[in-house]
Amino acid sequence: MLEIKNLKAQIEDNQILKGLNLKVKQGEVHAIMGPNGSGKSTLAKVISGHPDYQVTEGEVHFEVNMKQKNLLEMEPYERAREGVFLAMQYPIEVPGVSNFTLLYTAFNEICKHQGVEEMSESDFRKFVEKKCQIVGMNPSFLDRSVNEGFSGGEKKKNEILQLLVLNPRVALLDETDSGLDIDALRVVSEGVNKYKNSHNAVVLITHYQRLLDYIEPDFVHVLYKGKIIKSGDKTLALRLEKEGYDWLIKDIQ
Amino acid sequence: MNFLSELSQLHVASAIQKSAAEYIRRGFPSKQTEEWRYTSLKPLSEADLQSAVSSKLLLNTSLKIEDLKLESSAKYFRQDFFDQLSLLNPHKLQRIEIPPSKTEYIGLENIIENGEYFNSVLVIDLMPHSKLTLNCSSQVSGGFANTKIILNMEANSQCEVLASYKMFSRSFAVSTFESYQKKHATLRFISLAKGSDLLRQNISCSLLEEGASSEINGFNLLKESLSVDCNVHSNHLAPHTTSRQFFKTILSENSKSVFQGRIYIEKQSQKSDAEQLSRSLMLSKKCTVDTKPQLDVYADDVKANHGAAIGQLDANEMFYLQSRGLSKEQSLNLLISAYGLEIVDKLQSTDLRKIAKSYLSGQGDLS
Ligand SMILES: Nc1ncnc2c1ncn2[C@@H]1O[C@H](COP(=O)(O)OP(=O)(O)O)[C@@H](O)[C@H]1O
Ligand SMILES: [Mg+2]
Repeated sequence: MLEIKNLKAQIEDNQILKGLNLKVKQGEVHAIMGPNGSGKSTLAKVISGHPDYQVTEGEVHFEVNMKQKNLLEMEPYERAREGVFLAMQYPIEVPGVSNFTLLYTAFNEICKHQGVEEMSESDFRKFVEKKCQIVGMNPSFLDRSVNEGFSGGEKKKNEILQLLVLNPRVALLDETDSGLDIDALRVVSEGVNKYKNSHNAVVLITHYQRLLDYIEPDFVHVLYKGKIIKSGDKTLALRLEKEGYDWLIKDIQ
Repeated sequence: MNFLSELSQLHVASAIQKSAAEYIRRGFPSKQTEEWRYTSLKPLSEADLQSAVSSKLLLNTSLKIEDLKLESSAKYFRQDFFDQLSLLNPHKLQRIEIPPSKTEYIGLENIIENGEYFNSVLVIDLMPHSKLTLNCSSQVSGGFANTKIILNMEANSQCEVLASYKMFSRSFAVSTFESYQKKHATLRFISLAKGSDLLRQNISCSLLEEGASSEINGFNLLKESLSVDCNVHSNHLAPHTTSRQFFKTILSENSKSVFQGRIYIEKQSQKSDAEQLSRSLMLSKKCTVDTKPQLDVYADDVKANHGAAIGQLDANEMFYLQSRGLSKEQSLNLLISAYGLEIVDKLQSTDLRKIAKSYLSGQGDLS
């Protein structure tokens, strides 16, 4: 579904991704771990088309209904409409734009693009309010400005609400667990598990095993200095939890 | 033929009109005049315009509208080119009184079309404890509107004004508001403007007695080679008076904005409180912003602050919206509305707020 080949990307002449390969199939959950500054957020932002980053080499293919699309040639909104979703490490505040307006506009644009019938405003509100329940958000949040004045935990929940409403084909979750207390972590994980099915895929960027206790990964990758240096199954995450990254990093230096 | 030559053939009867004619004959104010330093009136002086019919101004009110006589109205006209123009050829010269302790609504609609010009003066006298909601909308397409509204506010009267302007291309407007506020009279003024070849706003609040307060807010959305020139004066002429000026502007393409805000605090106006803030968002590198704050403060125990900021659109906000599936244009339009919303949200009247919000969301409707 998502295939990344030899991806190299830079920001202001700093090479950050240095030839990264990753293949994600339908129904899979991949965890990406790695020390701070490895390029995990960069990878997520490059896939979703953040304008600050330049791709200097490599390919990112996205398969939709048996058709291959070159994501790198598409605008961020085109990627989103094809079904790429990024839950950001630091969700952006947008004063003056309500959560409802953003969700409703985005939802109908995605429906239009995918040839699905759009929803009326009142039906959509009912639909979204149900999703609010899943992440334990009061529906009154819908009429507030996007993330403005939200606590760290509320911002992360809001990202998961968007995930549940927009129902993308692939979800990139960048440290959605960081800064959450145990209860919020459980709520967020349940949200992701409700979203997950055999037709979509999840890429989890995280530092902690505790998230992986709730959302079980099929594959675990270690990203270091812009490359994936080790891949394994969920036991790799357990070992990293115990031993840290030193044993891996030593190997490559 | 420019419209001043047509005016020179006008038959003037009274002495005050004769002197107005003389004033006009001297020509448009040039950029040498301090008040017109940033804006050229050349395009207007060269425009081919004819006197409009008086039905161009529609008043919606249940109150009595009185036609004023020119002779008794001389005090409403200052030694100013556009005031004298109104005096020379007033299409409308009217007065409305808001009775004491009454709550009233006045709708005022000014629609000026291709090739016409229109001068009007409306005097509104607010009696003590009265409350007025005033909705003024101006739409100019290829003409020139010169309108003046005077608010005489007696003690404890309140007034909320929404002034909205839709200016199509090759359009000009000079829009003047003057308030004279007695004890505890409060004015809240929200101006929304988009388009325009040239919109000149003169807003002047005179706080005459203790407790009077004025709040002047504006949001301008400019495109192409258009310009808005805002002149806002807060005159503190008594102690314990309060004024606010807050203007936000979004500029794109070759547009130009001027904000000249003046705070004047007289010597005896102690404990007065004045603030002025202007913010601009530049969407292109070719637009220009001139901000000239002027603080004339002669009292020592007062608060008077001003600030100006010029910024660009937040790239992260743009990306965030697009990463959810909104096109560039949709994202931009949402951010533009959001920028103006801060101004619109100051309106207390739910009716005016509804009108203002639909004005904001219809931002592309000038093409
Ligand atoms: N705007 C930027 N300008 C320059 N360097 C940046 C910028 N953003 C991130 N970087 C650098 O890119 C590297 C990778 O960052 P990031 O992808 O955020 O790492 P991670 O998410 O793995 O912690 C870091 O060394 C960081 O300092
Ligand atoms: Mg990161």
